[in-house]
Amino acid sequence: MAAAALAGIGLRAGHVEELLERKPPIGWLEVHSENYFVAGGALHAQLERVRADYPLSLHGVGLSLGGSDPLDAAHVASLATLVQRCEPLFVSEHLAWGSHDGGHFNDLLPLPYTAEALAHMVNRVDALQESLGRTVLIENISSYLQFNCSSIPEWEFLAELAGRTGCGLLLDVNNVYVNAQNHGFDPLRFIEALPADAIREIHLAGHSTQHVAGQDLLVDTHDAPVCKAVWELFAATTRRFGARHTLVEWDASLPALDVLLGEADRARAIQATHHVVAV
Amino acid sequence: MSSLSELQARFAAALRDDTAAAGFGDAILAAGIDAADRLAVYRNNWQVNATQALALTFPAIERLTGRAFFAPFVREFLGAHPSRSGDLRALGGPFPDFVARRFSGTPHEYLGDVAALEWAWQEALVAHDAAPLAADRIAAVPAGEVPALRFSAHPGTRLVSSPWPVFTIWRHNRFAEDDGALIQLDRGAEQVLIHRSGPGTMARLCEPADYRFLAALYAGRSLAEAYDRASATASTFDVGLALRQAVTDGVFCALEPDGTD
Repeated sequence: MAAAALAGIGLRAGHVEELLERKPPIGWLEVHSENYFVAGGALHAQLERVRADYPLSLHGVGLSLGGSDPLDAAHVASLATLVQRCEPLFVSEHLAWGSHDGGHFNDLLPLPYTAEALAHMVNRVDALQESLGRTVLIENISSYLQFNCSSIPEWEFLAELAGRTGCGLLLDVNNVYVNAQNHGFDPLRFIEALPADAIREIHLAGHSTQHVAGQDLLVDTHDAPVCKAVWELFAATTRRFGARHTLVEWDASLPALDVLLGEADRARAIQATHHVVAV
Repeated sequence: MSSLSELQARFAAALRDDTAAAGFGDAILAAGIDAADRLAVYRNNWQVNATQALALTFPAIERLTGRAFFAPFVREFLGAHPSRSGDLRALGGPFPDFVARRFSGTPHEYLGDVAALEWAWQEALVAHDAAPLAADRIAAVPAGEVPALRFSAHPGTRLVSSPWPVFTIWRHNRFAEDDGALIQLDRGAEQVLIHRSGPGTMARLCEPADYRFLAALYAGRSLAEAYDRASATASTFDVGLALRQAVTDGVFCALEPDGTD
């Protein structure tokens, strides 16, 4: 596939009408699955119009895949219905949990990286893929703490998960950078350790820096342009894996659509420069 | 309980309750920043996400109460009604009652009804699609059977009635219409019909008799019963006009007997 088709943007409510009116030349779009867990109304109609012109991917944020409560059958059923209707390019979720004992935090909370958590995630990803009848992609998250009980590096955990379930990986390069800064590791080590075949999609986003107790803590706020260091890490990622479907996400303080399209152009240019076809 | 489940239970408790956070510190790798400060990032994310989600569904309540009030009010709400779904849209269900209880007996008692109107609007926006009842279906019913007709409301139909001018308040604060205009709370009761028009959602004020007519039909009463109630409210009530308007607005999706059997 031509590199031009590989750069996309996360589509948010504030941009939908303008996008449908202008139909800018962008390779693909991604929406948050849960935003379309509705019975009917204008949202469905709108998504159909989007889908008529662009490949669409579904990105879940609320399944609590790593949670120890039973997998939410109603949530999976809503996702399955949406998948059936949208025939998405990819279906993705996170290496995270978000609820316990029925109470949801509606956030991506980190898992301990232990053999027990890995076995649990393998079961859950197997169950999700079985329910949807297709491969899903699992994304690495940003985290602001590490657990004492963790015994497996995050990159090994992801690689093992992909190896054991056959799931794809959605590599969020910003999240790798954020975690590398927050937890003190070399981000290239993370990238190098992942199985190239499993990488189906890449996310890019902006983060913010919070000053906590005299130290910087990076927080994955999706409210800013992609920073220089993340663009550089993206270039390294492209050299390692080749050009993959790459998405720019922006959720809070949503800028003009053109700003987001500009970020996608930049991703496309980096892919064109750094993608080395293996011989 | 597995160690994963136990860790998640302790993490959840630490997010909900500061005093539990202190006991969770031993699970977190000490690395320059205190466990409590790290947990605070997650607690903030959780509360901000919920606040933004509720502000999207209840923009008039956020605007009327002010952001400085709204955020801590949402934290109070989350304590009483934790999210039970991975879909944040569901969070707003118990919010109108919570608002009503909070402002009961205060000069801002109307806020409960404004919140109820915002939730009704949200429910209508995402309700199942259905073909509206076509006018010729009623025309095909033999005249003698018309008084006994009962209607099924379209899934996107909602009726909201309040002793306060909720529609005016909501419209001004949601769509910022006539910004700066003062609304007199004593201008009286307002009744609102929310209805779907194709995939779109509309809302309009109803006259009291018109509202009583629609509310009776919505509750499953026959056309004759609905007419009796409406004409008791206003002797000039025009049932033909009210029914035509309701059908045009797509308020109904079926009728019974439907004349097809």
